[in-house]
Amino acid sequence: MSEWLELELAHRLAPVRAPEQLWHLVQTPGPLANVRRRPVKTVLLLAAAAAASVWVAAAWRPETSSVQTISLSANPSESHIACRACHTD
Amino acid sequence: MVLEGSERELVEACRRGEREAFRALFEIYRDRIYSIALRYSGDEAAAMDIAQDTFLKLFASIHQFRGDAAFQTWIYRLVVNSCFDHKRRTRRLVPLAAGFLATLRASADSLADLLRSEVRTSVRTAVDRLSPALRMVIVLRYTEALSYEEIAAVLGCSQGTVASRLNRAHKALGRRLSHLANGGNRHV
Repeated sequence: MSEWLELELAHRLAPVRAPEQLWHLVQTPGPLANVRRRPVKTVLLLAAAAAASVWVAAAWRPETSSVQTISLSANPSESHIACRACHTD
Repeated sequence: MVLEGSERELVEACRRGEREAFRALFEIYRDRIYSIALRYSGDEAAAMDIAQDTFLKLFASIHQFRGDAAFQTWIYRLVVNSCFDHKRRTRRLVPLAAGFLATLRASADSLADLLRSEVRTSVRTAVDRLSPALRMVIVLRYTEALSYEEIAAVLGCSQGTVASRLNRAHKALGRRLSHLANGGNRHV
């Protein structure tokens, strides 16, 4: 085996210090996975809420939201000013 | 006083249910157990699970320790079994994805950081791809610096088997990491 690999393994697999949290986990045994899944659940809930918001926003249409609706509702005959805006002399 | 006594006295105190003795034993072995768990699993959350499981088994079954083997060997057996059990429960479907995520998390502010991250990820991925038996031998050898004799005692096999597994693991790692050895990314 190469010396390089020996040194690399010793370096990359060196011992580490355990987190202080470990003692608390040992004292209060419980399903760790549930504790760690809470952020995942939160993210999933937020994502679902965001998706619902987008869906509601897309489904909602104000009554006079389009330019076409506004232009159709206007009556040019009532005001010559409206005609002059487009038809110049 | 329990905290200043030998390991035998600590074990006896644990059997009597003395809380201080449990804490003292925990402090002696916490880093070693967590290190083995982390280097074997390659994942901090999994390492915490394994370490917690190991200490719970240790405290629950310390009255079964007969003194036939060294206490340290007995504890190493516990953590090795926890590692294997954990691996069976939660098989990592895509080990490469973990390496990819580790690369993303790593700082990429400079070329040296990138190279360091690449070497670390490559070694981690190569170790992850070893079979559990080969990986455990590598971890006990390089993380805990155990001798062949000590590894054999922990794993319950012969020293010849340990030597054979180490040899196979070294060859596999050498093949998978040859691009780093030839590429000049040494110890960046």
